[in-house]
Amino acid sequence: MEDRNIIELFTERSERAIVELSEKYGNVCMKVAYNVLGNKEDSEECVNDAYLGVWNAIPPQKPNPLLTFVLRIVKNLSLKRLKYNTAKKRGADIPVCFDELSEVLTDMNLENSPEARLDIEMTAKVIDEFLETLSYTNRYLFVRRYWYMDSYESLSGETGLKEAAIRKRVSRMWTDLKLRLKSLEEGLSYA
Amino acid sequence: MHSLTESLFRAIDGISDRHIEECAVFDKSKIGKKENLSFVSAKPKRKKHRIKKTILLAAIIPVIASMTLFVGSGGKNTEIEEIPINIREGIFTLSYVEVEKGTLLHRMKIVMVPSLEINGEAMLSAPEKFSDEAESLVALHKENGFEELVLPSDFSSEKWAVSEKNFFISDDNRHWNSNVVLESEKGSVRLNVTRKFFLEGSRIIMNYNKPKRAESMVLNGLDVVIVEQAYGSISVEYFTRKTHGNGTTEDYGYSFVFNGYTFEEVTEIVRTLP
Repeated sequence: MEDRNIIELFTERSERAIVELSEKYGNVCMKVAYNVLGNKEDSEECVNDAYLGVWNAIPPQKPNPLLTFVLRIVKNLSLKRLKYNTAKKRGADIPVCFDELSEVLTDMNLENSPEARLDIEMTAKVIDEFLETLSYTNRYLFVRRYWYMDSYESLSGETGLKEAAIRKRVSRMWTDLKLRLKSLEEGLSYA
Repeated sequence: MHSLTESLFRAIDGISDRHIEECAVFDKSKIGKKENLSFVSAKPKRKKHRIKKTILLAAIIPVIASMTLFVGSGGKNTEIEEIPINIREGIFTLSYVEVEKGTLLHRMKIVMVPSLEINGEAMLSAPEKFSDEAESLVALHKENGFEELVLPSDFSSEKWAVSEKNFFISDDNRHWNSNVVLESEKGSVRLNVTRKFFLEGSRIIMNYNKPKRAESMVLNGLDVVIVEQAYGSISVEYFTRKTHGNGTTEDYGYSFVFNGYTFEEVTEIVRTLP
């Protein structure tokens, strides 16, 4: 079913909207939630909460694209749940990609600088522009790794590339991105 | 989570919807041509492709006067040598310099030597006791007109054990392959029998890698045996042609890989076949 038809169902307050949404995007939602939480039960709960969030948001909103709208809700809920789990020491681990981001910042001599801060909006813009310069595969790898938080193993399975090759590609992308971030005075400033 | 790391994470989280949507599913059709090559191999193309071209060319241009076989098409390495084989009165005569015509004038038969033992069982004397694979192997050999597998007589003194065996027939039944590895204290022999479909009028192409040595022999007119040494093992490739009742012909290739034997030993084994 087309996204606009699903949105129409939400607008009509038809419960079929949830069924159609789940059928179309349920898997990718679960994947995102699971990538963050690493726990099936929590992930299912977050996805269901996200459906409820979509139900409450539409109407009045008419999101386009619908997929990213739902995914962002799923991801935010999952991250909140992760924080909750971590704070209560309930066994949830921080996604591995966070460590990689921390390493990037260390490489940039920022991680240990308490005064350093990152303008999130500007940095997002730089990353956006950077993604435009990449080949489709590299863009896919970067976005899947750091937005969807896919594991390297999963990426390898999907793309057919070897894990080592993916890591190398990602590492090269970061080398380029770090230069862009460093050169961005507006986006990266020291108080 | 460190606040700075979180900031970077949030920044990535804030990338535009189009990137997130685009990457929801991996779309192979979006991979560029240049990029696609990296999925195959980072290594430069090997000369294997040249072989394919040659085969294609040979398939298009019918060469009545010459008939060749395709040998060692694995594209294993660099140097490729073409060995033309001319047909004269239905008999292959190798014009390859190392050919020793008439060295072996006996038709090579595929025989399971009765004294050859597998797990203590003589192979041909009691084929029903063998595995299905071995039975199929024997049956196929017979089906294709080969009653016996000839191995040198001194092989019979060795005790052999099967270390590996498999048998494969493709779904479309266009080719079959059997693989039995026999091991003894002296060494091992891999019997790899493959039915190959050679093109009429195709040319023989042989990988010739140094320090590989190769020796070709004519067996009873239509059969060709090539002993070659490459990659630490010696292989004996045997080719023959079968003429069907309706006059059509098919070529078959058989290879035996000898491990633990020297090139001279294997050559001698082949020469002294009964």
